[in-house]
Amino acid sequence: MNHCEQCTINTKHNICPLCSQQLASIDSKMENRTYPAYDRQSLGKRKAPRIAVFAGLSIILACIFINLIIMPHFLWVFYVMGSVAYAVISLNHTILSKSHLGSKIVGQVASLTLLLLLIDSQSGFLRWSINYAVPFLIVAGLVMVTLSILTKRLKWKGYISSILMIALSFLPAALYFSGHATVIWPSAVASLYAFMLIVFFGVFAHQTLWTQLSRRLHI
Amino acid sequence: MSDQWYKIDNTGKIFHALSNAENSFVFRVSMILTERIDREVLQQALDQIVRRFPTLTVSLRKGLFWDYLEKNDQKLMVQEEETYPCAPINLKTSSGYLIRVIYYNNRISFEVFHSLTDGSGAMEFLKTLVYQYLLLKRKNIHHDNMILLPQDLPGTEEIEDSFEKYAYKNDRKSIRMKEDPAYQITGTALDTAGISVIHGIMDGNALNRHAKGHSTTLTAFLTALLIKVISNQHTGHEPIAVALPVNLRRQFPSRTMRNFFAVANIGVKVEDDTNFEEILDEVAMKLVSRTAKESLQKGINHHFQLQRGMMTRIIPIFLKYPAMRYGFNHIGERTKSMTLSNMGNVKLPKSMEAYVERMDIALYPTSRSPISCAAGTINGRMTITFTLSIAETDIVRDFFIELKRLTGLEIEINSNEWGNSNEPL
Repeated sequence: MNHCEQCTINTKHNICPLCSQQLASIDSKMENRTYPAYDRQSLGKRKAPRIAVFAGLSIILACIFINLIIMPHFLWVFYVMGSVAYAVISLNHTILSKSHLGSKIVGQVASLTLLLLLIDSQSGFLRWSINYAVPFLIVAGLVMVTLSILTKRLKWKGYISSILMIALSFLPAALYFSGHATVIWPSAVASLYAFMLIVFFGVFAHQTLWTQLSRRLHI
Repeated sequence: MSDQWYKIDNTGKIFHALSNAENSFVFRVSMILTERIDREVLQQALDQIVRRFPTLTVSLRKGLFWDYLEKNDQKLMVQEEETYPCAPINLKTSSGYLIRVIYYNNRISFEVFHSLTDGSGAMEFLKTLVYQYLLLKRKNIHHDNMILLPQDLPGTEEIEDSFEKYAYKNDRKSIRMKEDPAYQITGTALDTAGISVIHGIMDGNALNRHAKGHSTTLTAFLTALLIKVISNQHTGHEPIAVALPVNLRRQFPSRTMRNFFAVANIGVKVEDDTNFEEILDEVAMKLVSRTAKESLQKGINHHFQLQRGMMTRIIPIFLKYPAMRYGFNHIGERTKSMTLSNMGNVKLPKSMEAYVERMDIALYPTSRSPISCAAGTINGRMTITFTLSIAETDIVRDFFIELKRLTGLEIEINSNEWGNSNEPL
């Protein structure tokens, strides 16, 4: 046992834990340690998501500056903002996060939908996004959800993602009936697919889904 | 599929809402035995006791309005200690459990996410684990009705939410006493995620006698001493407040294994000429008043009503949790300078005492309260443990120097050397 005169305490350590003064120079054996020697390298904070957000914001700010100085009559910066935001979401949520597949599919469909709507609205709003691109994107998302249902037993999070995906599928139809979209058949395909998925859940959903629902919704 | 589930108790909901990488809300209780821990035997002991504690052997599940706990059927494995105490629990590597059983040399540690239980519940689990371990090691020990035995069935009173049981349901007027913002300790954040742990080990009986000599309790004595040493670095006018968790089982006849505690903030405005005796008198007086049964009852009622309101219940958690985080960071955490949890004298069966050297408790620090303190005594040996997420150790150093000066007790200091930049022992 070593003694630190300055702190008036005894310690097994060779360096005083309170004032960091060297008390002895002989290395203690492992069996005398109070705590293990740590591997601190593995404990570094995750920086990639923050770097991505910082880089994204920097690019957007730089582009706003350049756009306003050089070409203020044509605001191309909105294309950049949408694309950079999509890239950051894709990196942080789709690639780096530990979210399950269903959540990543919904995240991709939702963010790509917003990006397509932004690009269309900024380029004269020819309605190609809401007439064709978004409905087909949603159908693609539904196909991926269906494949994940067929290939592995669905857990709760899978159900939630599917429900969100189904809810999103009625967006094109809503846009058509509100007069924003002008072509019906892509929207109808997305809605029909969503209805079929609802029927599929009604017939094949595991009994535990209903038990889980009562727990998940308790107040 | 597990068919047993539990709502998170009234206090546990708060910890769950607030936890993140900087605020793990994971605390540790440990017993240091007299001989090296045998991993195989510890695993056997754990396998035999886990079902005795159904509210601890659970997984966290997501809900829309509240998350909840579900029975976990995975095997809970003991782990050799590798990382720092109170590290956040990684659900991917813990098989979904919110608890950890860790061993290192002679020490068995139980770490638990605070949403599941408080210090008393955790200590009951640890006592049963150590009892079963010693039995399997063929030690001649007896439970003396002081241990929850693995073969017994858990009673309904052990799994109840005692806040709901003991709250006056119609008392809608209980208002939390408004507290002034307290002095906030700040410092240099440690280089890597993790906490520095410093233990001070001493004769608990002698320290208790010393506190009694001042006509006060050990908790009041330690609180006053903390306030005194914190005041050395405090130049403002805010009070220095120590948050003291109060075990409600001592005032209400609960046997729950879940959270059942209140927090009493004891704040003192320290001027240049305030001496230790004056601080001690004020702390002792406030402690008596804040831990009186009527005061605690009001706290339970307030806490219950806060979460019983329909608006609180029907707001989805993605809106509710950020609001709770804001309240915690900007109101709750601002009213304390530090937390001190004194578990008191933990009683073991006489026959077990020979195999247990001492115990310790490590309480997580938080981002706004970067130093926490916890104390516990077993077999007359008391361990006061500081956990720090900052590099500066002045407060801890001053505390032990002052404790030694006031009491003359021999103090042994150990640490996990987290703040020492990998310096060797």
